Amino acid sequence: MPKVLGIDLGTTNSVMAILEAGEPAVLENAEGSRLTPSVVATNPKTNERLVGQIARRQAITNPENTIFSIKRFMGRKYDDPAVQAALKLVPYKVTRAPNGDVQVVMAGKAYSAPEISAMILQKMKSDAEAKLGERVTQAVITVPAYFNDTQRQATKDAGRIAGLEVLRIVNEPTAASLAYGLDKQGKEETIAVYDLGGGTFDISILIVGEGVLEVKATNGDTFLGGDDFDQRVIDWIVDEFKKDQGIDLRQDRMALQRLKEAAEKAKIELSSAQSTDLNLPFITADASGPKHLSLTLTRAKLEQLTGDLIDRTKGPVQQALKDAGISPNEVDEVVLVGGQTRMPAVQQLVRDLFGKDPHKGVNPDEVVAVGAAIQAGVLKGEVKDVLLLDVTPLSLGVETQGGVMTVLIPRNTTIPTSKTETFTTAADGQTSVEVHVLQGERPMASENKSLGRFILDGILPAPRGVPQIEVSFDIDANGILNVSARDKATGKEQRVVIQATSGLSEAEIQRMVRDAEAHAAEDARRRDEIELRNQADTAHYQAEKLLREQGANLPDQVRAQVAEKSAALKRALDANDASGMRTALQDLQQAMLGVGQAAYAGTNGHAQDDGGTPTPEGAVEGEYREV
Amino acid sequence: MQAEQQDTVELLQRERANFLNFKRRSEQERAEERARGREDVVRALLPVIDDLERALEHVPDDLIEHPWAQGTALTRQQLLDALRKLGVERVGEPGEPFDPAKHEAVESEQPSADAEPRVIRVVRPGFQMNGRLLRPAQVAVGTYASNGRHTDHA
Repeated sequence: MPKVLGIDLGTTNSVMAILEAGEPAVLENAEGSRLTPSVVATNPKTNERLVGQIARRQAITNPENTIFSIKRFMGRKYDDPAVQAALKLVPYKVTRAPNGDVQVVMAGKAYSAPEISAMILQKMKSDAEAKLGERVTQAVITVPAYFNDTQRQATKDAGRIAGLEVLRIVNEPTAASLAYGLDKQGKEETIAVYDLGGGTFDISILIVGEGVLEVKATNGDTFLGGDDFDQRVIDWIVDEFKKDQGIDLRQDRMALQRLKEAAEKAKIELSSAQSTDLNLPFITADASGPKHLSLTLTRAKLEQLTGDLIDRTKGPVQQALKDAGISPNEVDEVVLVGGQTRMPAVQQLVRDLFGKDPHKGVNPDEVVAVGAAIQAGVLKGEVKDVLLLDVTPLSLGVETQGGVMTVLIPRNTTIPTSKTETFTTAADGQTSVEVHVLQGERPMASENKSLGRFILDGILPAPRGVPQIEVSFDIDANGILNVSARDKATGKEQRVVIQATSGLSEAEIQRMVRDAEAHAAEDARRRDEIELRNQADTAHYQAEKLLREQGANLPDQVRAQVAEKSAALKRALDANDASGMRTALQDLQQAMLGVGQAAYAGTNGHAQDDGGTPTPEGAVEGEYREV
Repeated sequence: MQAEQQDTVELLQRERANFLNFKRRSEQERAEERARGREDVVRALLPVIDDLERALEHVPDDLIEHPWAQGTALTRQQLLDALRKLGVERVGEPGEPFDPAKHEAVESEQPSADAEPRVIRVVRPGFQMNGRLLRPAQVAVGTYASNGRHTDHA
């Protein structure tokens, strides 16, 4: 089935995403960037068309043929006051079409706003096709909630011109809410979407009920955004430098270029750090020689510089709430959109305005495109229930020696899934094993939930560690767990079916996961002890076996050593004395090395009771392992 | 019943295709990711190269022959050699035709109507690594006269 592209067609930048195996993924453009500048240019000499980053890079050489911010003109008449305000800010020619619509002129040719938008969409379409290796013919495109029918139709037309069938036009705040799954809350809720982008601020109040999102009110400021924040930082740097060095960097275009980049970088760093250093050596020079710029900008200072910009978002928020007829505390969910919302002070303002923490986690630059991709998936039926794969909420496993839970299927594994592991017996001549099926996150069997147990018998008597018992876990798509155990030697098999592993409420699951975290240290210590015990038990068993089977061939001294240390270990084991076990285990391992040496000497025909034969040169001591 | 079965088969095929596509793309992305990891490291170091260049551009006249200044110049050479071995190359030379695929115009002089716009000055060099652009060269664009160097360029 062909992919449907979700596109956030922005004023400054555009982003595209697709749904893949039910998960949204943002696609990079041909230049390897997740953001595509919404800029189109034509080279007046060659008539070559440039779109995106490349168009932006040549903008100042070709200002009259480089079109940006076309979104401000979409679906508008030339006489619209918004058009009159915007056209003062653009260096390209804006004219009136015969039907009164806005036209822009590029390389002597007039284009409608949808035609320019189509060029951006076309680039995204072909970049997506190159990335995906398949044709893309359908899209879901987002628009601001305040767009009227004409503007929506213009956006749809742009898609059609670009060769895309626009399955739906979605409101940007709606898409952002979808990205956080707020359409499936199961109850009626009020959502506030706070969108502070590069150049515009939008606030939207939405009501969600029965999976339908409805925009109740919108407000904003079409000339407020992250770029204004950058400018404040630039101004501050210039002023500080002037105070310090008496030189006005505003007159120095090369210096300003460096300042612009440094200011944006500093602003971004201060979203995670409390302070950042601005170092711009050789920023300029005067008669006395080169001048360096070295400043420290703190988060507090940045907040002071931009506080009034942040405050300017308050009025629109309050107006939108008033228009929607609700009070701030009636807002159930808050969603942040736009890169500038990464600033902690902006998040704090939002928290103060609504009295609750905003949703985070999805990249605020991409959240709208992600939501568009999800909407596309819904329309194509890709997000059907039958395809919603579940995960195991808790780990599943069996009890093994020492009462330890051995996990076969870790928590959060997508089902259906299966896993097989081979186990063995713990005692000589053991003819049956008990398979105890467990669910939970604690290392000890007794602290997890027991789902069932069964016995596999008829195992042929053999020394411990020899029989091979294959245990298989299989969970089908309905969450039904099948556990089987099979003795490889006899082919004998037993199984148990555990109906839908649920029975646990979401709260219980959360509690079990929390318990496991809370007890992590204590559990680790206990698990170490059990491991030590198992190790000691194995060592003791092997020593005894060795004495029984090889005892006669060993030098008396070695045999006595092993017997003594083995007995000491047994005593520590019986007394359940951890530190005693550790020492005795080491001693026994040491004594066992003597067995190896003796055996080695024996194979070389030099076995002497007096042990006087030197080890032959080149002997590889490491070859002896505990047996 | 028949239809339902067909639906299920279709669904399965779709999922299978999705998975194969996903696998192919994630392999491709992994390779790109590795390249990008190296690129990110080099990109983070570029401002240091810029400043070292600036320092060397500003060596006072009476110190140009000084061993200390020469040693610093050798250090720069060593740094650029090391980068070259990693596949890093400088982008942007005065005189070449302006190409926004690798140049970012930060200044522009009105070019004479018939002349091809060219790089008249590199404000900050660009770099590419194994053919991928790390950073475009910031350039001044105008009509380039090969004999008439711009005097404001040290």
